[in-house]
Amino acid sequence: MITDRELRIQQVRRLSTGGDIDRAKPLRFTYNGSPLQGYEGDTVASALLANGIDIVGRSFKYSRPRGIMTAGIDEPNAILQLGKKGGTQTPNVRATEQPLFEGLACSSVKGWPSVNSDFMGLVGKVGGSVMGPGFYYKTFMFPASFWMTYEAVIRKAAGLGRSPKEPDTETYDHMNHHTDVMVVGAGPSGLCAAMAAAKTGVDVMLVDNHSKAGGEITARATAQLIDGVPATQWVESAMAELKRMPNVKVLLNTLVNGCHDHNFLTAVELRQDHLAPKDRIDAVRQRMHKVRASELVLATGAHERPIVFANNDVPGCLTAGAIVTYVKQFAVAPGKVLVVGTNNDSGYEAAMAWHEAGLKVTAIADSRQNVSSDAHQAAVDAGLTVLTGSVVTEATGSKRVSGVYIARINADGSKVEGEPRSVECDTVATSGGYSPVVHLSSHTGTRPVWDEQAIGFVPGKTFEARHFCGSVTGRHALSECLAGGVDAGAKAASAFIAANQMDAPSSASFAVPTTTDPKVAATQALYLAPHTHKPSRAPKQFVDMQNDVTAAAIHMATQEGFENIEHVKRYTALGFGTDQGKTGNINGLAIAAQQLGKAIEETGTTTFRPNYAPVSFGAVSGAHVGPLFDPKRFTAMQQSHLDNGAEFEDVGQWKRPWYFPVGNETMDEAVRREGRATRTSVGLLDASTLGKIDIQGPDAREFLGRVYTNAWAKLAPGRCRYGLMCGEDGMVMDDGVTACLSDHHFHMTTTSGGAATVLNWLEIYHQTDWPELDVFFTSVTDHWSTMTISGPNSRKLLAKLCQDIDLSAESFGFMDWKPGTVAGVPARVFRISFTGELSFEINVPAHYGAHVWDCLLEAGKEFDLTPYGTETMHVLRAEKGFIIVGQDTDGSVTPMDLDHGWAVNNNKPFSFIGKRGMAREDCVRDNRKQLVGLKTKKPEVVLPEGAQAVELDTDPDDTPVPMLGHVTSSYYSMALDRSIAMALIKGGIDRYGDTIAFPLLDGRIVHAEICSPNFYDPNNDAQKG
Amino acid sequence: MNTAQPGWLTNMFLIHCPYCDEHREEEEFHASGQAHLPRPLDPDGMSDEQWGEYINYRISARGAHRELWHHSAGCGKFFNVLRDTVSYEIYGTYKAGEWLELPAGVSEPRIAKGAKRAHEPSGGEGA
Amino acid sequence: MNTNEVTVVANQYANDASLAQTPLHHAQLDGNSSSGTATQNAGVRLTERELTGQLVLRIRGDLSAASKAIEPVLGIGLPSTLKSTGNPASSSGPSLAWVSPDEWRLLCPIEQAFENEQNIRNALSAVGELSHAVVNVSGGYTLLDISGADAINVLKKSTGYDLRDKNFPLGKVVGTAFGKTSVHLLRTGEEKWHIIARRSFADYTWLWLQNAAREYGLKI
Ligand SMILES: [Zn+2]
Repeated sequence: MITDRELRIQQVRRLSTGGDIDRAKPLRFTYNGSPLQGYEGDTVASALLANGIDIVGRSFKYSRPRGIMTAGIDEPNAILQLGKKGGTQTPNVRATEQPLFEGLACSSVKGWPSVNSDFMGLVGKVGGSVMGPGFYYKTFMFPASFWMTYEAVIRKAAGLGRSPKEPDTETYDHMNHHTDVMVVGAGPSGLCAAMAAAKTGVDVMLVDNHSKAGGEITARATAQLIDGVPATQWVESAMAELKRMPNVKVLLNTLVNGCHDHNFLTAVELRQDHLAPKDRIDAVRQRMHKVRASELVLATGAHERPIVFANNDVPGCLTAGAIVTYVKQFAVAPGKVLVVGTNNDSGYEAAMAWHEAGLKVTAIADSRQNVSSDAHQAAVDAGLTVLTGSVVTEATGSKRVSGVYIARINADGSKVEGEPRSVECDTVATSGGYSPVVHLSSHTGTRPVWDEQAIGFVPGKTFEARHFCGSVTGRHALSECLAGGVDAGAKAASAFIAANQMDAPSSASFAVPTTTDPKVAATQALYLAPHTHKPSRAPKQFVDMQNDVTAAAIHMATQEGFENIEHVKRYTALGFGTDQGKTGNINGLAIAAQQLGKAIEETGTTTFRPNYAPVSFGAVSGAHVGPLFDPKRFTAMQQSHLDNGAEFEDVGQWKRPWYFPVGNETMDEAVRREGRATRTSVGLLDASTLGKIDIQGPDAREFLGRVYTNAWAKLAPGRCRYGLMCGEDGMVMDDGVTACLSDHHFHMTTTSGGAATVLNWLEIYHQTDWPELDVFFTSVTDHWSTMTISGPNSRKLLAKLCQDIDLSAESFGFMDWKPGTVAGVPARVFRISFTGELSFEINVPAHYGAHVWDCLLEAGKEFDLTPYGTETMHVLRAEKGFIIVGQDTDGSVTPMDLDHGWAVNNNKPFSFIGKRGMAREDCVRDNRKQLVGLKTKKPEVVLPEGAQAVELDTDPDDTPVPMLGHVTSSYYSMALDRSIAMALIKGGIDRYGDTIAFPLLDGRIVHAEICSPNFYDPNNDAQKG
Repeated sequence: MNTAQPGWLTNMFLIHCPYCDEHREEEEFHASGQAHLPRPLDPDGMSDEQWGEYINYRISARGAHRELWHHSAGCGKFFNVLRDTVSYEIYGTYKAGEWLELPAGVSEPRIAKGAKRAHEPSGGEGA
Repeated sequence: MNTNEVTVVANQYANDASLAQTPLHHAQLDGNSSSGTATQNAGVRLTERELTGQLVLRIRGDLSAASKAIEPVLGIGLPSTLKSTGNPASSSGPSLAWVSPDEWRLLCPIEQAFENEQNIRNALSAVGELSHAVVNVSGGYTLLDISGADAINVLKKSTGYDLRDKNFPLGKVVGTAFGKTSVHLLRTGEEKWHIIARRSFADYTWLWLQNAAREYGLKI
C-alpha cells in the first residue's frame, strides 16, 4: 500500500507553509480511482490542484478539456461524481464546495470514457461543427423521436452526472423557523447587519453556506485592519459574540437557495456531507430550513467575473480571486508562472499573493490606460511587470496553458492596437470586476437594475421587507460593507420594531467598525478582450463554460435577429447549466448589448429562479418519503382486517379492504365467494370511510333542500333518504344517505372520496351565500365506525347482539334508522342497503369499532358471516344498478342522465343547487348519454371498463366512427352467473332491447344488449325483507 | 377541523386570517377562486347565457385581484384576500360579507370579457 | 334518547371501559417502550391520552352570555380567539379550546361527556337568540402529549406555525398543518404540548412524530 509520505510527494503544487489547512492531518482520497492526498481543511478542488490535476472534465459541446476555474459556488467546470457505488453516490458535486474527508472517492463526470482521452475530442470536433448555437432548436426540433437518442448520447458524452438507481441510504428532513430579522451571508456586511439587529433585542438568524464566517475576508485572508485588529480576527470575535447572544441563531454550512414570497426562505444545511461515511452518525444528512423572516437582510456578496479572451477555457485559466484563495487559504499554487489580466485592482491581489509565495509573475495586463491605486503601486514596488492599456487576448496550449498573447488596446477597450506579443506562463488569472449576487433578490420576480458605477446589476425595488448591504449593492470597499451592514441591520430591526409596535431599545446600538480602505482605481467596463480577429474568426472565446457558449455564438444570435436577451439566452443556452451562469451571465449580456449597439440597461437581464444552486432531491423531499410520503388513513378495524389477511385498495388516502382471500384464492375467486355469501347468508363490510357530517340547527332541513336535488321538508325523524348533490352546472357531484335524527338534527353521509369536498361545499355556501341560515356542520367521519351487515341472515345476526331494538320488518322498515345497543355499546342502526339485500348499517363511536366488529365476526360464525371488501361491494351494487359517483359519473352527467329523475324535485320553493344548471338547453336535449345496463350476447364475456360503443352497422372505414358512449362499470355477476355492465349510451334509456357493439383494442367486437341496470331482483323484494 | 393537504415547498404566502387574527403559512390555506360571486337570487329567471356567465366566467386579473381563501387547516372559515397577481403583494384580507377598498395608488385591474367585476356586497345578494 | 326533541342527545358511552380502544391502542404506547438513538437521555416524550370525552361546541350570537351560561355547568367559560380555559394539560380537564369564531372543543372525562352535553345544551337553550349545536366527537380524535427538551424541535419539523414563546405562550391553541395532515396544537407547559389529531390520521401522525424524534431519542 502506498504510504502517506509517497502520497505527500504527489502534492507538487502545495506550498510549504501557510494556509488554513492542517498538514498534520493528511487525508487520503481517490480521483478517478487514483489514490491522492490532501489535508484537513482542503476542498476537493484545492486538493486536486495541490496534486497537479489540471483537467477535471470535458466540455458539453466541444469536448474541450476543462480545469478548475473558481474557488467557490460559481464553479462551472469542476462538477464531480461523489461516492463509489450505489445509493451513496452524489452526482454533480462542485469540487470547490466539497470539503475533503478521509476516504472520499470522486470521479470526473465530463468525458467518456476518460477526460484525458482525445477520442472524444475527435467526436467533439465533429459535434462542434454540427452543434452550433441554437442547435437545440435547429438540429433537434425534428424529427422529435430522434431527440431522445441525441440527448442520451450527448448527456453521456458531456457527462451531466449519473443519477444513482439505488435508493438513497441517507435521511433528510425539513425544519421550520420564524425570525424577526434574517441575514443571508456572514461576510463583513452580514456580520455587521446581524450584530446591529441583534443588539436591539429582536430575533436574528444569520445563515452562510461556508463552514466559516467572514466571506471574502476568510477566503482571501484579508490583512486589512478592522477596529485595529486583522480582519480575520475581527470576524472571529464578531462570530463569538453573536453566538453568545440568546436571540441570535447562526447556521453555517447552510445555503439559502430560494427567496420566496413574503420573505419565505429555503436553505439547505449540509450536516454530514463534510464527514467520511464511516464518521456519519445515524441522523439526517441534509436539512432544509424553511424560514419565515419578518425582515430580510441580503448580504449575498458578489461573484468575480473573468474577462473573456480566446482559449480562455484551457486548464490553467482561473479567476484572480480563486488564485488568491488557493494560495492563501489552501496553500496551493495552481501553477508556476502567472500572468494576470485585469480591469480593476483585484488582479493585483492575485499577482502579489503569487509573488509573495515565491512564484514567478511574468506580467500584469491591466486594461486601464492610467492606473493610480495602492494595489498597482504595491505591484510596481515589488518589481512586477505591469502593462497598462493591455489585455490578454489569447491563451495557448490545449491541456494546460503554455503561454498567452498580450496586446495593447485602445482606450475604450474595443480594439487591439499593434501586434500582440507572446508571454510565457502556465497560469492565467483574470478579473473582470464583480457581479453582485442578485439571484435571491430576484426569485420573486423583481428585476435587477443596472448600476453604471458598480458595472453590474444590483437588486431592484420590491414591496417586500428587504434590505441589502455589502457587495450585493455594488459597493465593494470594506468600509462601505461594514457601514452598509450596520445600516441595513439597524433598519431591519427598527422596521420590525415599528411594525410590531414594540418599544425601541434605549441603549442598543452597534458602532460601525473602523477600517481604512486602500486607495483604489475605478474598474473599466471591459468584458470581452479584443482580439486581432473578430469573434467568429478568433479562437473560441468562452462566455459560459458549462454550456460552451462563445462570444461568436452570441454574435450569431444577434445576427439572426434575436434582440431580446431572454431569446438570446434560449438560443445560445447561456446560463442554462447547473451553475446558472454565475460567471458568464454578465459577460454574455454585455457582449450581446455591445453587438446590438445598446446599453446593458436597455437589453436588460434575464431573471433568476430558485434554486440558486442545485439541491439534492433528498433535501427537497425531506422526511416525506417511504411510509411518510402520503398519509395512510385507517379505520378502527384495521387490525382485524390485517388479521383476516385482507388485500387493501387505496380510496383517496384511505386503506380499504379490497377483498379477503382465503388460502390461495385469487381476487376473482374471493369476490365470488364473498358475493355468494352475502346474497345467500350474510356479509360484513367496513363502511367507516364514508364521509359523515352532523348537521344541526333549525334551518338544517332548508339547507338540505338547497344542496340536495330532492325534497327534505317532510322527512320524519327516524327516517333516511338517499340524495344526489349537484354542482351549479347541474352535474352530479356526490350522493349518499342522510338520516333525520330529529327535526333539527341530521346525519349526512357522503362518498368516501367526497367527504372533504362536500363539507367544504356546505361551508362555502353557508359562510358566503346563506349566512342567515341557522345551521352547523361538523365532520363526524372519524367519530363513527360504520359496519354493514348485508344478506338474508343479517337480521338474525343483529338480533344476537342487539336486544333493545325491535328488528321486525313491521317495526324497523326499509330506510328507517333506530338508536340502540349493539354488542353492549350505544349504536345508531340504519336500515339501508347498497347491495339490494336486507341490510343493517351499524354506527358506533370509533373507539368501540374494533369491539363490535369482532363481536359480529364471532356471532356470525353460525351464519358463515363473510367479511367482504370494496371489490365485492362494487359487484353487488352493480347487480342492483346503484351508481358510484366518479365511476359511473364523470362531471358531465345529470340526475336525468342517470335515470334518477325520482331523486329530483323541481317543485321545491328554493331553486336548489343544480336546478338551473340542469335546465340548460344542452342538458335537456335528446340523445344525451344516459346510464343503462348492458348484457353481452355471450354471457361469459366481461366488457372492459372504458370500452367504446358503436352502432352494430357501423362501417369502421367510414371515419370518424360515430361513438355512442362507453362502459363505466363491468363485472362478472355471481348472482346472475353472467357478465353485467353499466354504460353511458346516447339516448340509451329509450333503447332497452337494442344491441350495440364494442370494438375492443384486441380486435374483438363484443355485442351487448341495452337493458335496465337493475339486473338482480328487479322488484327490490330482497332489501325490503 | 378539516383535513388539509398541505404542500411543503410550493406554499410561500404569509396570509392574515381575519378570523384567527394572525398571519399564517400558506400551507394552512386553500385558494377557492374569485371572491364576491354572489349566487343569483332568481336562477330560474336567468337566461342560459347569464347562468353560464355566473358559473363559468372569471376575472383573469393582472394586478389587484380579490380571491376567496379557506383557512382549511385552521379555523375553517372562508375569507377574502386582496392581492396583486403580479407582485403577489397582499394588500389585505377581510371577512366574508365585508369589503376592503384598494389602497391608494392601486387601480382596478383590466378584466376578461364577460367577467363580472367584484363589487361591494349590497346586502341583498349575499357576499 | 327522545327523537321528539329537535336534536338528538344520546349517551355514547358504554359503561364497560374495556370495550374501548383509543386510536393508537395497537401501537402499545402505554408501556415503557422507547425508540431512537439516545433513549437513555431521551429528548422527547410522547404519550397518547386515555379515552377522553370530546365535545364540539358551536355557538353563534352573544358569546359572553353563552360563556356565562356554560360556566356554572363546567366551571369554565368560553376562551377567546386562540385561547383555552380550564386544565388542558389533563384529560380530566375540563378544558375548552377555541377552534373557530363559532367553535370550541371541550375535553372532559369520558363518563361525563353525556351529562355535559345535556347540561350545555340546556344552558345554551336558556339563552335567547343564540344559535348553538353540540356534537360528541369522542371517537374521532387521538389526543397526544409531547414533551421534553427537544419536543420543540420535533414540532418545528412538523409545522410551519411560529412556535416561539412570544407567539405561542402557555394555553394558546392553534389549528395548523402538521406533516401532511392537520392538527390542533395546544401549549400545556414550558416544554409540553398537546396534539389533537384525527383518528384516521393517528398512525400517520404517530409515525411522523416517531421519525422526527429519532435523532433526539424518544421515550413513550
Ligand atoms: Zn383562521
